[in-house]
Amino acid sequence: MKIDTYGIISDIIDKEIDILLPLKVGELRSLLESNFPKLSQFNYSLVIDNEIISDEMKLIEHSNSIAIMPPFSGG
Amino acid sequence: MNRYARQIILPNFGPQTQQKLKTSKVLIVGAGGLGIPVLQYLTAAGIGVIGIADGDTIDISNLQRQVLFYEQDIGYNKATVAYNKLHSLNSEIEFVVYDYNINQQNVFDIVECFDIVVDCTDNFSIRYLLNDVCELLTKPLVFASIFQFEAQLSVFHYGVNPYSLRDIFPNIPISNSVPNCTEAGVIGTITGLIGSIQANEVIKIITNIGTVNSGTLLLVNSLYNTMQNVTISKNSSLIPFTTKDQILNYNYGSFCSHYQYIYSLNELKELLTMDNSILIDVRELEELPKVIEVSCKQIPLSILPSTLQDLKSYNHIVFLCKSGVRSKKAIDITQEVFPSKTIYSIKDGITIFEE
Repeated sequence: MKIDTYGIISDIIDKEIDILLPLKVGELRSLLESNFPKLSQFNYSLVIDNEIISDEMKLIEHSNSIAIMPPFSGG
Repeated sequence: MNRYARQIILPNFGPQTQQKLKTSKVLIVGAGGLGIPVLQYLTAAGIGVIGIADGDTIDISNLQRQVLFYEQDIGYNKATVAYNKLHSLNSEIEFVVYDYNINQQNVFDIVECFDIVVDCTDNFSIRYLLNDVCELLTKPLVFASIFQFEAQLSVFHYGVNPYSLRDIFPNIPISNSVPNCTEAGVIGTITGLIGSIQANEVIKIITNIGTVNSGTLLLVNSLYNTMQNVTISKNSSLIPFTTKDQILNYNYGSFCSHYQYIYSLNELKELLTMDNSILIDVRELEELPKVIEVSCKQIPLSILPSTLQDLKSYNHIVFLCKSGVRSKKAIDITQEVFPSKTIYSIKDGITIFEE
């Protein structure tokens, strides 16, 4: 599955990976971090089908798009 | 009213709507890349009272995006210079200038004077502080942040179904994992674009025209001209602050730009006459020349972290080194532990005594 990225995370995600759903948000994070170890150094939220999901326990049953979004700090 | 004729003739606008702008009070925190377009458009549009908060001074590297500032303004305070220029754009506006940074001690006194807050800052400590204060006081917060050619924008704490920055990113990010404009670079045009959208959101909130960008986060990429509005979902595990004291006692980490420069020996001497003030030389013990002009404690930077508790009783802490670089590190170390103390760095280091 292709993973969309924003900001500095775009430098880390360099390949597509297989994601088998259903997964809880927390489990999806672990899967992503095991494929992209540098990700664990960053703060980020997951955007599933254009919705930002911050609840780690939420179950994702199916999804058309997954994006990794870090906070920006510049102004 | 001739000044506002072009907006008054807009559909659903009219003189009553212009009057709403005139009776509004908007605080812009940060007079930099984002803050400048916000300030210019809101001043031009006729907001009644505009607060400008920024303790920073103008540097030549700011001019690439902070287009209200000119070469002759370098070295002066951003809020003060912005006020001088904006006042001649629209003398009908009442400006309130805060030429210092907002922190935990002063935030409530300032924010309580306004109806809407616009976050144009560049560090997470202040962003989360403004978020939490606006949530407690139920004031709309027009948030935007930038990374290189990209931006994020949303309106928090607005309307009957308000959202929070913490619904998106529950905890304050560790600042060294997220680069700011200084470290990552930024294109001037994106700050102009996004600041203009922030100003537009303020006008929509006040006038009740259109749909305010609440409950969604606008993601902009100016390299590919994409704009995407993603839905924010409420984070049910958040426990909101219910009292001022909770916010005042919360650890917001280091307000990294929250320190002041000392430029002259007279300024330093005056500061050291205050109770609870101390000058600390963070150079190594053998470095020359020694400080003899004023009383000074030697704590080399290498041992500062282990001796920080010695500074507990001081409220005004001045750091001195050879050129200012180690002082900046000392400030970061001290603010991690004592976020609310007022900290100073001697701008040109030890040369302050060469007169």
